[in-house]
Formats: sequence, structure tokens, C-alpha cells
Amino acid sequence: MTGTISAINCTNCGAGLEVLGGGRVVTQVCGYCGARLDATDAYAVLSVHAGLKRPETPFKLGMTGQIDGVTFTIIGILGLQEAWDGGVAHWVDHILYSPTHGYAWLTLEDGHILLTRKIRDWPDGSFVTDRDVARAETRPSRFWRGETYVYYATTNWKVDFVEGEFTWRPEVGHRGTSISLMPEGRFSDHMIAYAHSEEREIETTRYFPEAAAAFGVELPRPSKVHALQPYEPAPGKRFYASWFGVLTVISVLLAIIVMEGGGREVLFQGTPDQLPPSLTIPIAVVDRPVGLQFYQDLSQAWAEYEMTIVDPTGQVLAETGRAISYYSGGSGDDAWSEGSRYESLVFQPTVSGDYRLDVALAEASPRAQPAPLRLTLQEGQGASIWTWGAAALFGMATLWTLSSSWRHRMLRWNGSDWVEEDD
Amino acid sequence: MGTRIIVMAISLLILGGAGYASWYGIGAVSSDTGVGSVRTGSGGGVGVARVRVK
Repeated sequence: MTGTISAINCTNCGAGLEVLGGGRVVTQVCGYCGARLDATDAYAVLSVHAGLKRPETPFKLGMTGQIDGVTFTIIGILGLQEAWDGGVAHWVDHILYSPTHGYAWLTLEDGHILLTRKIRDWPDGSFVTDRDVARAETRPSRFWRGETYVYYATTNWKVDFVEGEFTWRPEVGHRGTSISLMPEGRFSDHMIAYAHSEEREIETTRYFPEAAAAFGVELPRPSKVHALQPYEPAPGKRFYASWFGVLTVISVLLAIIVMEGGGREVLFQGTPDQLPPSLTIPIAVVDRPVGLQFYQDLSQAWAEYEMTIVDPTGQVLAETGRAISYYSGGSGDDAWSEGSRYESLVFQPTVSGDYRLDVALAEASPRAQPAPLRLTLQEGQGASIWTWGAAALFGMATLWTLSSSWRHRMLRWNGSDWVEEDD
Repeated sequence: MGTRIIVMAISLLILGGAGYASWYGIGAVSSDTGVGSVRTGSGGGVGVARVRVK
């Protein structure tokens, strides 16, 4: 009479252990005492891993779930880690078994769930090894099922926890290498991996968040974007992009209106010696500043002007000076210039009426005295820097919103350890 | 929806504030002007004027 064993007692500690994993299981590790038992030899003790630290995972041995319409059972749990100069990464592999569909792996990594299966139809080309990667000048690539996969990363893993049933003989400290390649396409959610430990296998891994619902567990919230994580637009992306885009346009228009708004009037045009001793400025609007702009067509020269502004009531609003200087030299890439042919003075009018402006050339270099001078008045002088600032802010918000897909892709490839060699 | 309304309100406040400050020239008035400003002398060099605003 033949039958199927559904449970055993640990031959080391006597704890009851379920047998879930099918005929290919060769090792069972007791979750109570850490004993590795030989499933092919009456569960004889191979070794004992005492005091193992259980990794954090909501999945447990014996849980069942539907994957692509097939019921799988979790039969083994492996804790893995990879250490490098910058720290240690941990993840958990859950071995799945279906009597009709064999074995698969469910990986929990930073709250992301991945489903991995071996592939029988290997990609064209040789098995990719870490030596191949080290020697390659460009990312190694392979063609499989109509897609080109390019090198993503090399993982040198080590087992730090074992529990349950396995089709090989895992133990703590067991090491291996996995070289992953990912399609170049923007929204690929799977990769292939060349796994090399006691034997060589090629696996395909896909992003599988549906596992949480399939097995009835709650997953921790991921802290980073995973390489296989598909892009999902944030709620309201189109609304925010449109909203900030419209505000950007409005801000630019407002800035242009402020810059160009207000009447401009030429008060004087001529050489400095033709300046009248006094100019009259009629001002009607008093709630916005008034700008005076000086322009003198100087070259290798300087000039300093003194001016006084008096309001209609006789109050002095300005008794000050402005200097204009412009020097230049060199040619081509060595060309340089210093100073500006423009100067300005902005004051706040007090009452409407005729203002008096006294302007006189105080000092100047000889070449400045015959140079043409133009004095322009702008009533309603604004400060467009504020609206340009708002336009920049809203523009950045628009670009940030619109670039979310691109940024997601960058984050996915951020985990790649490929470094382009400098020429 | 609540977040959208908050974002809209804050961004409209920013736009309104920037528009007001730009239109009324906040920060544009030269520091050497004002009621009762008096020139106190040259600080030496081109364009360096000392002005006191009462």
C-alpha cells in the first residue's frame, strides 16, 4: 500500500511539521529547532541551525493562494541578504508549490512582491556570468521571446534564514550569484536572471502585487521604487499639470503686462550740455512708482549726473546722483565689457500734479560729453520680478508633474550597478 | 478633492500676491529716494552717492 505523508515529527526536536511540497522535496528545515532534515532518508538530521532570526514577512508556511488561476502553497521560506560597501539589503524568498504546475518563488523586497519561475526556453547566447559582465564594454544583452534584455545588476546573495521544504539543500551561509537583465522598453514589468549557485538556472521575474490579495496578507509600504514596478500616474496628475500650466501662462502674461504697462515718455534727448536746468513731470497716478531711465551711448567713457526731484507741494523726493559707464575690449572669445549704458531711478509719487526734475552733468570723462543722452519717464513702474518668480514656481510645478513618468523610469534604473567607462 | 482645493487656494494666493506686488512695484523704489531725502556727499568713485532719507 502506498500513500502520501501529510505531516511528520521533527527527528531532532519532535515538533509536528506539515509536508506540503511534493515529490521533488529533498530537504525539510524545522521552524522550531532549525534542524535540516533529509527528506530522502527518513528525515535524518543533516545539521542544525540554532537561533536563526526570522525575517519579517506576512507570508507563512502552508498559506495558499491563486496565481494565474492555479492554487499554490507556500512550502519554504528563505531569508537572503546582500552586503556591499554601502550596507546590507535583505529580502525573503517564499517557495511555492502546485501539484500541477510545480515550483515558483514569491519574493518580498521592501514591500514589493515579485513572482519568479524557471524558464526552459533559454535566451539565445551564452549563460551570462559575472566575469562576462566585468569584461563587457557595454551592457550585456540577450534576446528572449521577442524582446531585448540588457544588463541591470549583479546580486551576490547569501542565505541567512531557512524554514520549510526545498528541492535542494539550502543552509545558512549558502552563497550564489544572480545576474539580472531588464527589457529596454519603458514599461516592462519583468526581467530575466541568470542564477548561478550549485547549478545554473535562468529565471523570469515579474512584479506581482496581486499576491497580497491572493494570499490574504497585508504588505508593508515600499520605501523605494522597485526596478520592476510599473508606472502608475498619481491621482490628479492631469488636473495638476493643467492647473499649474495655466497659472504659468497667466504669470508670464502678468509679468509682460507689468513690464510693458504704464506710459513711457521721452523727457529729453540730446547731448548732456543741452540738458535744460529743470524739467516738468506731470504725474496723475500716485499709487504706483514712477521710473526715470537714463541711457547714454557711451563707449570707453563715464558720466555722473546729479538730480533733484521735487513734488508739487515742494517736498524733495530725491537729491541724488546716477553714474553711467561703459568700457569694453578684446575680440572673439576674449571680448569683455564692463558697466552699462543704462541707469534708472524709481521714486514713489506723493500727490498728483507737476513734479520738478533738475538734472545736471556733474562729472564726466572727455568722451562722454558729446555722447547722446536719453531720459525716459515711466508712470506706473512695476516690479515684474514677483510675477516672473511666480511663473518660475508654477513652471517648475508643471514640469515636475509632467515628468513623473520619466522620473519613475530613472528611479527604476537607478538600482542598476552598471557603470559606463569613460573614454 | 480636498487636496486639490487646498493646492488651488494656495497657488491662487501666490499668484494674487505676486500680481499685487508686481503691479504696485513692491521693492522697485530706489533706496535713495523718499520724502526729504538729502544728498550727503560723494563716497568717492563713479556712481557712489551718499544719500540720507529722513
